[in-house]
Amino acid sequence: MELAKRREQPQIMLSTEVYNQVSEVLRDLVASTRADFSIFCDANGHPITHAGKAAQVNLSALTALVAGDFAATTEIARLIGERDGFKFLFQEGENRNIYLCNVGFNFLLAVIFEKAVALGLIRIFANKTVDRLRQILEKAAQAENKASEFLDVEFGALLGKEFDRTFKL
Amino acid sequence: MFVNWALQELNLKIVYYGPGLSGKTTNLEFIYNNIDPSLRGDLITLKTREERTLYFDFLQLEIGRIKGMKPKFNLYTIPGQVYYAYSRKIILRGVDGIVFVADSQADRMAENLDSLMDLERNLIEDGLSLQKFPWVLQYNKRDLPRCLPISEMNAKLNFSKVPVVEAAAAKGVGVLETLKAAIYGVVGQVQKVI
Repeated sequence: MELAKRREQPQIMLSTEVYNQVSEVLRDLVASTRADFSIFCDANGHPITHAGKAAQVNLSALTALVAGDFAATTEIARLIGERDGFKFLFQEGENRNIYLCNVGFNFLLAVIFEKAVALGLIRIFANKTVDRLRQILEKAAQAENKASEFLDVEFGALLGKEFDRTFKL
Repeated sequence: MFVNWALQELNLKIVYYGPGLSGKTTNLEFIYNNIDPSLRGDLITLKTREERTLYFDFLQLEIGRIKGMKPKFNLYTIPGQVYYAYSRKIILRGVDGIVFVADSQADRMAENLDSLMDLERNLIEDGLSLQKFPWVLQYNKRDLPRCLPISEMNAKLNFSKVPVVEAAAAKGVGVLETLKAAIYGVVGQVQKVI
């Protein structure tokens, strides 16, 4: 059980029910703030779900960079004596801004919004959103681990075949 | 590992580790250029002005659909240069499997060993160890002169008896075989822990 014992990043399973609840919370956030879009990812940078107008955005790349940015800034915080890291990150652009905050230890929330939207509004609604998400995720943490339903020896063999087909090996 | 049941996605993180200039980014560039574009995202590279990796490179691959699930592999490289120690620690968080890219040239063995020890220290801080973690060794630059024999590379680096792939990443030799070995290792480990 070596991986399961890991201190910082356990295996994370997200059920369809939790996914739908999280998606709804994100839709509420975008509707309340008129942000362009909002995205929820895990602290390793895997995108989970988003709401709003994100069709033109490479979300996998965005969340990989967001997670790296957040992790790096947390280390910066520690170096200057802020043990628990910064509460949020805010980057201001000419037309668009991004607001990042963590949701518990394992997840991150990013909100992308135009300059016309007030940062204070984003902060208030992002804080409310984080509270709602934490409640959902705390319940989800007790959910059953179902990875054994598909990750068996057959899965490994099929993956090998699919890999060879993909790369024409 | 992250499983999103609603989207039927299995996300796994594989990190390419190794000393500076051993060929980690070259591995990702070859994969990027040799996979159907519909199965991969953009190759994100955060480089210094001297074209060295500053923070990380990132590439996401999808490999078909297996038993209803879409496996997604998130490939990262670390900055190999010694003074980016903190960046390496950050990128290792949540890692599911590691490819250690070693430079086969005789005068680079000290850097290989330093980097491998650095990796082990970082894993131990995260409650892990090379002895118990899925990783593979790529002996890169086999096409260059003054390479150490494989037996000597093994004696110095492969104390965990992990899979070894001989490679010349700049020519694409051994790159996909390395990735496949790493993916097998990760899936095998996940099967062990569930």
